[in-house]
Amino acid sequence: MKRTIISALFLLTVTAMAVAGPLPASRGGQPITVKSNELSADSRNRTATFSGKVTARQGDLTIYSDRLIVHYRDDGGDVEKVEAVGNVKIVQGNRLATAKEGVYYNTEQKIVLSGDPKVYQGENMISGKVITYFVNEERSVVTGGGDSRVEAVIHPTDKGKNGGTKR
Amino acid sequence: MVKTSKIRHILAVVIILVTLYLVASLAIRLVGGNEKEAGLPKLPRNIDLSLKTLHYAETREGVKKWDLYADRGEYDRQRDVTLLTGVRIVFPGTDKTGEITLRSDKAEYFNATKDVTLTGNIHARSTSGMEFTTGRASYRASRQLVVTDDRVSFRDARFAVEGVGMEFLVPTRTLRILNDVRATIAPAPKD
Repeated sequence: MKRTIISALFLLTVTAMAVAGPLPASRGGQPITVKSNELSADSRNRTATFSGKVTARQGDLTIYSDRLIVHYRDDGGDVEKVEAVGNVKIVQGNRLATAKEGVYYNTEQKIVLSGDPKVYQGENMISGKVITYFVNEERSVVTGGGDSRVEAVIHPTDKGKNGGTKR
Repeated sequence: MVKTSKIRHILAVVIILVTLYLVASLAIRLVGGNEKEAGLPKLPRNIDLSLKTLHYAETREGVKKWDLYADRGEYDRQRDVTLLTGVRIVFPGTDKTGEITLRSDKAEYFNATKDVTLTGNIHARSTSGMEFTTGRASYRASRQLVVTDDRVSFRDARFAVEGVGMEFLVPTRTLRILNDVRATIAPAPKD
């Protein structure tokens, strides 16, 4: 019980995976290009659903999934959020995130991953119940809860001082 | 004897005159007939009626479903098809969706089903800004559906799509691109 409560409240801001350096130009101001087998667009619900080997790109961020649902605003048609469903894989530079589902919020420039989410950078890996990835800041917030605990596997670069794997 | 010979001569002259008259009148009729037909071009054998600048409105239960305009229409009775050129179909819409105008170089209107097959430079545009182009398409009246298996370019607001094969449901403006989808969603312009 205690473990569950601790897990549920456990919030880890992973800064170790952040890479120092200048932030990229605002990704929200760049076009999104999508390739897929099929598209179904419903103007009344303001959604466009891409299915079958979907690849979506915005700047240096690429999302792969089985299905991608783009929600756009009624006024002006700007993208509000993008839902990726099934075999979600997100690549940005040398970072890779995997999950069953992911929601990309265009204005906030964040991706919320759920369904066994994992974020990899090189040999390092973090997992939990929900991972929120802040795209422009290049950092992740990992939340554990229930049976799913936060797990981090970090390989220190300076092996001579502090070698091994932490869990 | 003399009298009989004269009568023969007179009869011969009469026969010659009558023959000349008949030949002359036949020739005049033939020449005159050709002149009359020159004003109206002959229709192809399969065409029963040719119309210029036609307008057809389709209504169901008092509600107008679409208007069809064409520069020219030729009715083929055997196939019960009207062959149209310079075609424009207008689908009414709401204030939000706007009416859609679908244009093509040629079309075949099937009188029994009210279906239309369109060919050549097909371009649809709505008053709300949606548009698509393709090489050939069909309008299925019973489902109010525009379909094509050809390459399609679609554009609406910030959304531009290229693909192969399309189903566009007119009443709901619902779009399906069936293969090889490539879409670009442009960002909102900065204030």
